Amino acid sequence: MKELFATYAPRVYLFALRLAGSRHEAEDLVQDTFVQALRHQSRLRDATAARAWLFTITANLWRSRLRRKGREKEVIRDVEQMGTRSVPLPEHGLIVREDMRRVREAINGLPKRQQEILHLHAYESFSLAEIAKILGISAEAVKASLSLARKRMRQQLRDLDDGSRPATPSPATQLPATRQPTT
Amino acid sequence: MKPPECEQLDDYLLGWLSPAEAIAFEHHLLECSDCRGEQALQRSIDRLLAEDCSAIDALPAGLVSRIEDHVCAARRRRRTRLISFASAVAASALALIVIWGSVVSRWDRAAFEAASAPGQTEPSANAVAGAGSDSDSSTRLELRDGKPVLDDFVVTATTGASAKTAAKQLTPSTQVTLADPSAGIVLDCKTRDPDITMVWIYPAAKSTVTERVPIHQ
Repeated sequence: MKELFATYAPRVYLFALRLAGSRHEAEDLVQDTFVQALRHQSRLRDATAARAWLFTITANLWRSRLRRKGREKEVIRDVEQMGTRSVPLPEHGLIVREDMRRVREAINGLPKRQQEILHLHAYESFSLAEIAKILGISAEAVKASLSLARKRMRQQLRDLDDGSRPATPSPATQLPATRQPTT
Repeated sequence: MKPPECEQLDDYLLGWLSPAEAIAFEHHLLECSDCRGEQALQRSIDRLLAEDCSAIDALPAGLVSRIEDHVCAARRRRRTRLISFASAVAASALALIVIWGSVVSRWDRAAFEAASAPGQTEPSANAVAGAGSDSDSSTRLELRDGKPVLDDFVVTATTGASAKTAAKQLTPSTQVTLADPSAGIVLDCKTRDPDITMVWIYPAAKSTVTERVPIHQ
């Protein structure tokens, strides 16, 4: 378990940050992930699957928390439509280059589910099947979301480069703040 | 209006197209500047993401020790729960053994006390008790040292007839007394002497030893 922790804790933390959006919740999520992993380590038969297994635990724990808070419906509804949530990725005192900052900002401008899928694909190099298993969705859904996420990210970066629009989802996909009664 | 082939850019870049489809798209790339621009942009994004990924490889300060403390505490709680559960199981098993033991010993003691109760008729040692007619339901039991024979069942008959042998059944684990012959089977047998009644007392449990002893008549 110590080896698992030493090897994967930073990556798990990064993913937890992507899911939770706050450092405090991400830290709790990482703690709970490794406690769960300790409890169920007998289920891990293949060491090469450890990384995907840990990420799956993290995603499942996050979904459980959302269910307890009654926020799961909100997340499901927001799969394709969500306001910007800036993920405070660690910088560790390094100067973040402007282009790097813009890429991060572009990712943060994506809907939540697309951010998660893009993170798992781009940062963790998981396959479509692995991402599907971690997030509990179909591989086809992962493929469609990933394709859309990359298109949107390129569009966000072009918009940032142009400086014409802030990094927010297009109005067509944004949820209304309140539902207006139809007459 | 973009050609439909442009929609296949990400499929091509991610390696999702078949070889034939990939070749067809490469032909399209040669002719479509928009797709070439998107391809270049996506490649720089991929490079930056890879760089970002390798740059973020440390946890925030203090988080490692907090997580380790949390995991150790969880491990200790788990160990404590296992020990408590094992102790509870052991204590329950011990309690059951003690209770069972006391029930059995009380059972044995009650039977022994019933056998040794002072209310029983105890004529002089080694004498055959009482006398009665055949119709009398009283039974006689040979006594040894003034106490009813608890372990051995001896059948005797005092008559003038020649000695006969009778089976002496030894069932040490069964106790039958005059006061409580319920553990045995009592059988009255007539003798030549109307004043003497012979009694067979069989233990209800199967006897382990059978020994023949002479009957003095």
